[in-house]
Amino acid sequence: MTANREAALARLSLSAAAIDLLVITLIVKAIHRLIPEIPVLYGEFLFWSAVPAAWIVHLFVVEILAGGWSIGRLCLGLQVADAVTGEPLGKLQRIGRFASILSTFGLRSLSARKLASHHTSSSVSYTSNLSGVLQVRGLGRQDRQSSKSATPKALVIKVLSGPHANQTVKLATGRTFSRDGYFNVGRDRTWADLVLDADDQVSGNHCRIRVQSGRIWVADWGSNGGGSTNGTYIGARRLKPVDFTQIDPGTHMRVGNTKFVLHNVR
Amino acid sequence: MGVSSDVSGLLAKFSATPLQAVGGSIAFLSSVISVFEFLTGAGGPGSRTAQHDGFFSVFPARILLFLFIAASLGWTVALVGGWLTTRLREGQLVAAHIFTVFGAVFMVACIDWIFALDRDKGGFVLLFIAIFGVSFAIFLAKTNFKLMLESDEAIVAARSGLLLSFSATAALLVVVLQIMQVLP
Repeated sequence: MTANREAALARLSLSAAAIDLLVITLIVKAIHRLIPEIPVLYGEFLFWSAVPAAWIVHLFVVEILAGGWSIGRLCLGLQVADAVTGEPLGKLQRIGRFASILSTFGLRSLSARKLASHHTSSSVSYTSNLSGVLQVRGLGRQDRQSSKSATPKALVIKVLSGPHANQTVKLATGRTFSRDGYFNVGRDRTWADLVLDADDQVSGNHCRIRVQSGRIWVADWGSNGGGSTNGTYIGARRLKPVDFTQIDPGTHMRVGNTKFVLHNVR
Repeated sequence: MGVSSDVSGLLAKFSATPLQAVGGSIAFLSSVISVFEFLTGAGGPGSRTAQHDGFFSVFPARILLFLFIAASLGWTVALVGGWLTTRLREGQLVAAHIFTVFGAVFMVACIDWIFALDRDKGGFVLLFIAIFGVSFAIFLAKTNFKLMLESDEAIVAARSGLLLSFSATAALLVVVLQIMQVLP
């Protein structure tokens, strides 16, 4: 988890909160409309108490009933999910988040650089589809240290199975990428850096890999960026066309009948 | 390098998406004229403007006009913001934030002007419109940033900051306007 990625998600989260502030204002307005006697009967204090009441109602609806979706998060493509399965949060996780945010009055979420702990607990991941996928997952201190020391010096792409099995190409941290910083995989010799012309299930311009700041991104491509015919897979998941997804070194990918993997080299 | 390459980069973006660029520019310019009228008093009480007669005296037409302005604002803010954040230079970042904040103020001014006739219906209409408009503009801005396919996380963080500037400014302005209506 880099500081930049966390900052991006923290800002998107705050941006969503700003839109949700408008919804809370609407709820306050509704409370005042439903009970117009509040300011007259109980004075200014109870009049303003509608504000925290509206915030709690909104928080309850968003975190518990809607599973982390709010209008702001929908607009910004922000998703809260289980860090392990990638599925929506379970009941206990949702209640835990609700209690955590409530107990701190939401103040811990007000940083534009750091995500609050309830966003990065060990069981919850925070994802945005801005620029492929930005994902923050809970990391302990030990994981943070090992992640810092794991910066790759170079990458090796190795074909594991298919007609080109055991073919290996070494990439020196993005500098050897031939076109615009991308590493291309496909059958077209004029386009691809890893040419898989013996696999007839692979498209001419099949997929693109990009490495930046030690992070690896992959996207299904196809001619004109419309997606390959048979798709690019990470496990059983088919990648969306031209939607860069971040992967970890060692992730197995499949294009046509060919499986390959990217490894770090020190 | 320098200004000339920046300008040519922006022109290249426009030529890559000509329809969006033309549509966005026309809507942006027309809304600038409307807000100019508003700011100079031409749209003030007693004066006849587009909102009082003709096509825009109908509520759905005003919604349509506002959606058009919100869409063009969101798209333009992202286009200019994306261009200014490509190199992460401090001066350009500041300029991007100033432009974004101006865009948000502009949007709230548009809500106030276009729906001036609907103020007597209570704050609900304006609030609904504000939520819808800000959400729509932010959604389009985010979509524009997403289509730029930027993989440098520092740039993505800077662009997320622009989205934050836009939504926070618009939301705070709307809330302040609402509070001013409630307070005696």
